[in-house]
Amino acid sequence: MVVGVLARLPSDEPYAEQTRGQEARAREPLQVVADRSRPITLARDQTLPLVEPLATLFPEGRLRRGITVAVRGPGSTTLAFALAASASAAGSWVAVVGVADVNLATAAEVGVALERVAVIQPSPAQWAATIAAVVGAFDIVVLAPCHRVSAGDARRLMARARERGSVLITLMRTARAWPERVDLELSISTLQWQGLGQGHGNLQARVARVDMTGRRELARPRQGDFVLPDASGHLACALSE
Amino acid sequence: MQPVRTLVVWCLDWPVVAIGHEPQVPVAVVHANQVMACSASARAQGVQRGQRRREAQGRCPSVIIVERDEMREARLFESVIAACETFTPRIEITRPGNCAFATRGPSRYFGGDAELAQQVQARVREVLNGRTECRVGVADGPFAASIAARAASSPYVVARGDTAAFLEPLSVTMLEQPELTDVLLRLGITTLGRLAALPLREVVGRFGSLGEWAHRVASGLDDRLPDARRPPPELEVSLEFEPPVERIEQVAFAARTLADELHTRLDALGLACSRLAIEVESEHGERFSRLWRHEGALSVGAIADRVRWQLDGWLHAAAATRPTGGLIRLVLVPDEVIPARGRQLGFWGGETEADERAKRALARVHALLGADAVRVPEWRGGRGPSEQLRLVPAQSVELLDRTVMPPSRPPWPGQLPLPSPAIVYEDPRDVDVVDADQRPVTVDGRSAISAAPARVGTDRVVAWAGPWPADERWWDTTRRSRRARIQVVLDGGAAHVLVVHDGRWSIEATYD
Repeated sequence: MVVGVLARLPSDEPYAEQTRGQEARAREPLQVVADRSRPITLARDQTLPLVEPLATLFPEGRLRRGITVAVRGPGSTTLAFALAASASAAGSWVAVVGVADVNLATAAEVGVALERVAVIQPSPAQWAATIAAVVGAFDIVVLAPCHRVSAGDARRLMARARERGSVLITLMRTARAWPERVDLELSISTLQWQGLGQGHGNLQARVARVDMTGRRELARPRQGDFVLPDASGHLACALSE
Repeated sequence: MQPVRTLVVWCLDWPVVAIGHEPQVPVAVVHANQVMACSASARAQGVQRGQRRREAQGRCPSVIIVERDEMREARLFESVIAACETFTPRIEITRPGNCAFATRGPSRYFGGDAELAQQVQARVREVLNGRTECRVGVADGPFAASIAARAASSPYVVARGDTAAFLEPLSVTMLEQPELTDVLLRLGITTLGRLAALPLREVVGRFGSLGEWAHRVASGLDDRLPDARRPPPELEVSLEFEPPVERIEQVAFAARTLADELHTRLDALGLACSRLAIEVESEHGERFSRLWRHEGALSVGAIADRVRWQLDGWLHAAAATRPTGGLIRLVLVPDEVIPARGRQLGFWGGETEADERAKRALARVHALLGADAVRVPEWRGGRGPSEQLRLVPAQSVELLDRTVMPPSRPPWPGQLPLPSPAIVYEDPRDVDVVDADQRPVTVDGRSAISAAPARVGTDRVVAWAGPWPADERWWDTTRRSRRARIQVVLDGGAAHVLVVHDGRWSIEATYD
């Protein structure tokens, strides 16, 4: 019995091959049409704009889509919003996921359009699923994991961001907040706070140094001094070296 | 297509009735910070639809402001539907507070449209028991019938074929399409009659499918799209419950999945659902069915909402109309479908693709985490760093087309000067502040500081300023707060706002 069934199988094969051949032939002209009508993506579409002073640090002055950025040091929150500011003003949405105690007034002062900001507080169990849901729909996702992120989750999220063209900005509030190697690392340190004396004045501006290291085209370490924030909360001009 | 002779039952101010206050109490129901319905006594004092919450409170200080609760509206409306169902089985619900049915059968049985309308009104009034007014109108097509219902407090019947004449003198604002009627009014087309007199081709050329709809409605034709049709039966989706469910929470999630499935199936065929039948079967073999209608097309969220409302309505109905056992089967039947036209997104401003994507993602996250986990900022104003912006649930505001930071903001004397701190702690951490002699630093009743702070915790103070007193709500004994703030820069370059309250220092905010 069994032998009979097996014996009959090969006779089906030519038929399957034939249809496959027909399909392939039918697809050929379609492929030509698809190639011709595919929209052209300019290199510029693969990037997001940056505010003027920060742009001096980056090649071509723009932030490439799909990368993961880690920001560390005192002033990291403000710097993260400064990275998002120009894109947000140009129409991108910003998701702030799991960042505890964030004051969005800072974001507004740095130039983020608050109309396009959503703040999401997931529980650690749903953290990765939440970010996976917003990556792609939000051009910029700011996160500050306060729980242990597994290396697998981190890798998956980075891959998803790369595929969908969103920028993940991780605030490194704890030293091991992000277990994977990121595409770009910014560390900010305070050089000087201005405006505050001994019992008089008020905080007006911070002179900060930003060090940048990264991978691929961002591999060359760069450094810049900025006033972040200045007296009106903006990211002001880069200081001359 | 000959318009279907329709009877519309309209219960006034239904969102307010659903809240359950006495009719003479001024109540306003708000959604996304705008008044969307108000009680008669609130209206008498100047509260109107579309006002902002503050404006309504300004007009009528005693008004009770309530958030909209569509689930409750739908549940209570079920009793009205049940009353109408004694006349005819196929009742269409347009929204809670408004339902319609075709009069062809029942009108013959009850002795004409006028007699039927009288009886329906009497029956519904009996159910409403004085909670609100109920109006009934009969005309050709649901749109004209709903206008007729508004015309008078007694049932208003527009004779067959007279619909166009009935609509002719009415204002185009009756269409309730502000974007379209704005332009029409500026063009001098003020009445429905004038709109109907225009050649259809020109109206379609200028206003597209919306214009086509308006023209058809104004001419007294059927307001359903001419290409609306009954879909093939294989499009219905169903779900069995094992064991039978008795509580709405048990089916709410399943309803969403089912709605998703229906939408995907219709989408694959390029169709959208404009009228949906929701059917359930109980373990004792009883079957219940309701029609929900939408002027446009029902989205996934809208379908899921209606299923949830309807199930809730059935499960909480009066004993006579409630299923006697648990539900074992839920079926969604697209009763009428139209070709899905999609939506044209704005080219200059307006809604962009990015907005649309973000909105969809937020809806997804919302389903994942619940209502309060997704929030958006709203400007409130205040002195403290945490008071200026508040986070409100994303569901309670219109996500698109809003401004968060008003361009001209009132001054707040005593506000922390710019720049704002980036981190404001929800529960501030207590900290020891001592002077050079290791004595605790205090601020007295006259806002004078005892000595210059030298250390905060273990860190040395590099620079500091203050104190800035804030004596807020001194008129209110329970909410009064008296505190003083100082700014400090610590050794490592960290800058904080410290606040002293009841003699205890804490770190309120950090410049990060």
